[in-house]
Amino acid sequence: MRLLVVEDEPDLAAAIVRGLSRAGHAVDAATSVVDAELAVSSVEYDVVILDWNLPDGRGVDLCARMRSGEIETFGSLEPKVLMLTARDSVEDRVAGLDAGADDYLVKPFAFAELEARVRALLRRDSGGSPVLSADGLVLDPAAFKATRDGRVLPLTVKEFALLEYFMRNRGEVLSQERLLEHVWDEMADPFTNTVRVTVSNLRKKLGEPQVIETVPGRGYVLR
Amino acid sequence: MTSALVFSVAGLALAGFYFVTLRTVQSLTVTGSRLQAVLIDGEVGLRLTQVEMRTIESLFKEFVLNQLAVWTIGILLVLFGLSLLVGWVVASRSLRPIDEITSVARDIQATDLDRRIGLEGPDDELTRLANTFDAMLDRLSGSFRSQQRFLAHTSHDLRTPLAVIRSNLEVISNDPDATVEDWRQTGEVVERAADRISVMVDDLLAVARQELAGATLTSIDPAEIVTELVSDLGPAARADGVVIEADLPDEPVTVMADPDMLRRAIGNLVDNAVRESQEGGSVSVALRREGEWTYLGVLDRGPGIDVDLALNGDHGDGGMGLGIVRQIVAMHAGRLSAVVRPEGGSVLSIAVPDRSDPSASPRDGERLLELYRWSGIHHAGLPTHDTR
Repeated sequence: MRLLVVEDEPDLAAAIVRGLSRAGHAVDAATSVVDAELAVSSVEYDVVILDWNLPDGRGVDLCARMRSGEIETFGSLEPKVLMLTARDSVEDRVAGLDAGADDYLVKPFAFAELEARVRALLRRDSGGSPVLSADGLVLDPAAFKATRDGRVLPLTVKEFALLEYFMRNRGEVLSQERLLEHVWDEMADPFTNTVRVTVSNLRKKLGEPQVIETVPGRGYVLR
Repeated sequence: MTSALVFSVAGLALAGFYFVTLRTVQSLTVTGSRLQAVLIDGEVGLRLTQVEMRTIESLFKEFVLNQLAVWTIGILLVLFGLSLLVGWVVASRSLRPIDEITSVARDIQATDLDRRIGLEGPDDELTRLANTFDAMLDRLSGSFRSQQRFLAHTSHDLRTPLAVIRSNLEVISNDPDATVEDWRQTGEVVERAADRISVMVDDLLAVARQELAGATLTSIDPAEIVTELVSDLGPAARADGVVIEADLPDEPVTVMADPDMLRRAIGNLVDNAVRESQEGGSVSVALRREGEWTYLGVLDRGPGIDVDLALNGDHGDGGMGLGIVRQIVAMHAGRLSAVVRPEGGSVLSIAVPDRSDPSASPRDGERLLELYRWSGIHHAGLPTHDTR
């Protein structure tokens, strides 16, 4: 899933990006309100992890402006917002959630909890079950484990993330651009065939019968 | 007022007593003269009369004395009762404020310094006592609140480097592919965060010590502090690609300040400015003198800070260490200002007055920028950065 980390403390941002990337997410980082505005208006993010105090403004205000439509977020889906802040008072939590944040986590935090909260936000729209399943395919993002008819699939992080995205959007035709947008981060070169290669590797590992179909000229779909 | 009351009551009682006695004596005289008229008719009568008159006279004296005794005792009893009553009323009325002061003093806890006695009434000793008590509470709650704010900010500020340490360690130790180089980098990150934590803890201790001892204001030359700071902090900043320069006036400047505290405050501002700056940027520490105010400004060419955040202490996440700067400025009865410069970057400026009650406010906003306008002009060759 595509995540944006808005955090002005470079050492913290680097750790979050690294940790969440290892969990299979495509993670970008922004260090100021201005950077974050630019990012959300040009990429469709699934989750935005937002610091409260940034050098040029407040994360809560950014969140409120996103929710009110003052900042137009890219794509049809509003990103989920997780406030990650040192402010721990009840008033601050209430203000953060009322500004439109979906979750609130206080620094210093346990990294495992941040990961779990991100997973919880991601499944909010897709039924709520922590484990995704479809026709013998079972995917457990928390355990980073995917099986087909009980057989464990040896997937790479990227293949796992791709399969997760397919399963969350089952039955929908997903274009190369959309896959690139949600599964790869901003470092990915949009002109390479990385999506095609990864889909093909994933298909091989999933085995027969094929579940990911190619829709000519439009993209791929998980039946 | 109360003694006047007692006196008038006593006066009334005496007047009443006088009046009653007078009446009695008058009526007796009338009875006596009637007797006299009856006795004029016969000799025996006349003799008898003389005897009777003596008897009557002694009876009369006895009667008057008796009356006098009875009334005096009565009135004394009444006056005694009355004085008890008046004394009780007066005492309880005049002691009520003391009761009030006692109960407020008993109720006030360290966490609830907002209560006041607010005694109303004539300007007497008790009202003055209550007002003094209230004024003391004002001062206590003021310093208590500023300390609480400082503590809250510093503990907030501590959370950021703690989060850095914790996240980095968790991420690296859960990564089976982490290389020695990754671990080395994490070590550096943790070291940086630990350095920041120890600076904050030093700040906390410094404030605690200072609060106990009180600032010791001496006449100092702030230019010396600026020069020292620039040479102390310069090398580390240069390693990050930032130049620190001093911008000092030609004439010597003296100011009443605590040198250690002032150095700490300006040092924190310079640290922040260096962190705000991008590589190739520069930071100026400028000293200005105007009227009763001495200005120490730290100018950066970074993206420009949020002025409201800097001044109103909304610094949960930033770890900017402005809490202690505010505290130190308050100790000097000074003023901390922050202005974003239209050409990019920001100015954080401390103004320290010559005496504790300066006649005019220090410069702020636009006028403050004017004061620092020429700062750093000789560094125009350095690249300046866009505001955004």
